[in-house]
Amino acid sequence: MENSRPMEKPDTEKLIHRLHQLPELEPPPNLVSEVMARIRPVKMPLWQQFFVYLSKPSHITLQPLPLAGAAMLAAAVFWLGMMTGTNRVQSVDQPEQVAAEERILQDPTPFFTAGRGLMTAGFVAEALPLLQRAALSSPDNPEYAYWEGLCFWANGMPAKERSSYMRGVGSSPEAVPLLLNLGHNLLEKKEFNAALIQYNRTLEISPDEQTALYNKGLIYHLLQDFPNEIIAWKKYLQYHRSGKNSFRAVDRLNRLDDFTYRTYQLGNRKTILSQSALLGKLTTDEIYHEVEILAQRLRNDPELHVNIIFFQDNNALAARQKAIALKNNIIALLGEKEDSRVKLSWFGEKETVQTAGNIYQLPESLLLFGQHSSTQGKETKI
Amino acid sequence: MDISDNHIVTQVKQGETEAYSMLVQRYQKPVFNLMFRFSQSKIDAAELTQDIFCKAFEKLSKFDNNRNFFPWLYTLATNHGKDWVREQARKRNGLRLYTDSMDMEDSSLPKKTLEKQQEIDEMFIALAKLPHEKREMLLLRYQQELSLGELGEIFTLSTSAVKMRIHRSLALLQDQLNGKFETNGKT
Repeated sequence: MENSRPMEKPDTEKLIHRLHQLPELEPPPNLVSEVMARIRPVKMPLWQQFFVYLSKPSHITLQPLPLAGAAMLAAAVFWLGMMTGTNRVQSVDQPEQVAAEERILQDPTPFFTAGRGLMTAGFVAEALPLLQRAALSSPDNPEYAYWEGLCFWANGMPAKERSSYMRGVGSSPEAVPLLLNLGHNLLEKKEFNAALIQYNRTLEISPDEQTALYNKGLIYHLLQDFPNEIIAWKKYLQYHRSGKNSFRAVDRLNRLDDFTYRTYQLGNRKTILSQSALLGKLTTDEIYHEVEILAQRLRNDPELHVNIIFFQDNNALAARQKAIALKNNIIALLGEKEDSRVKLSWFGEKETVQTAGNIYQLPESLLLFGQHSSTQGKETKI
Repeated sequence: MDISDNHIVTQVKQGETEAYSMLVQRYQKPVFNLMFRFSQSKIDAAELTQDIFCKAFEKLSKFDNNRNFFPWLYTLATNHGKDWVREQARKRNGLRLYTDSMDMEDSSLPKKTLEKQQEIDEMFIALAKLPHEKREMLLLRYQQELSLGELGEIFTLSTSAVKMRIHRSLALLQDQLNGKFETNGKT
């Protein structure tokens, strides 16, 4: 086992990065107190104990999150105490006062407020009984169901988490956070089709919901339903073009031999553009939208020059016409004086693209890359 | 500024038993995770972690304050874990598969995607297939961010030997991830 092949440096760095990112399990919340309850104090002579006591420095530590949680809990308890205490003084032998007191005691708000505060502060085990109490008092409240579910999740109780969300969805079928988290719960248990139903319901209400769109693509990928996977990534990219998941969506799409969207290096930024739109294959509005993204990049970065290269197999003339049409659209948005910042090339052949080890020959495609004026003429990695 | 481990140990030795809770608080996570890697069970890992901290407390009077506390604790924990595994083997309980890693969820909101989780699972499975010493060396170095010197203390090796073994362990881990080896590492 010792004669492993030597690794390339980038491999090592990637591997080390992954090791750095590995999560750790959280120990049970009561572990410290359990240990401290089990250990026996070191026996010391009385005079030494007295000396240690006198010489012990005292200090107070302030940690914002636990402090916030504790403050919210204290406020809720104080409020509950004030409400019940005041009534108790005045309510002796008065049935209506007793009824009012019971109503206050049944009020789930303080439990919810305190539970949510504790959970936000990271005390998930302590928050659970309070959030359960709130949800029990008001089972139709979608917000209580949501937070109860979230707290079950944080405590590693997925079955109960699901029950909470389902109860919440039962009373509020259009509550997006509940639908979404129910989808996540089902997805984590690999119940893909059930998760898809919840994500679809989420998207009916909120069509651009980023996680629902992304996880749909992921589910189809895991189900190896490639036609639907392609549709899902395109839908995701229709709404979201920035962030790690957007680049991942383009990568997945391209690996499936679909180059509707491509990632282009424009100066120091990677930009996702719809190749189909820029090739003039979509509606005028969609073409305009993509050209505007490109124009905006040029406006934001006055030093940036863009090289546009069209490929059309066996038809250099058509490639040239499309290149000129795209440049005209860009210049129409930027102004004539920016003409020199957009350079054109065209080829009457296929473009060769390499993605994740696979080589694709695209009969009709568009390659874009940008350089800063100071680096023009120098070698650039496309 | 955090109080140093060795200062806390001195306090505990002087009778301030409560100060020991700081050490438990500080190192419960790496010890719990180490025990989970031995036991593959959160319940057993919690129990083992408690035992280890109690054992460490009892042995604290013998601890040399010129050494680092964590390497000492880690060595003690590793020995305890190995004893436990041997005992379990005797009981013919056998080791369960490493499937519990799906429980490793980030408590921050919002939830991470399943894809990220799969990458993590893949890494844990590859690590689980490495021999014990190689796996622990990598986790201590890159997850716990221990120095080469501290690793040398734990594994009783020179710094250069640690460096070499880490390099080999990384290569082996990469091979596992690439599916080059299928054999289970023995602890």
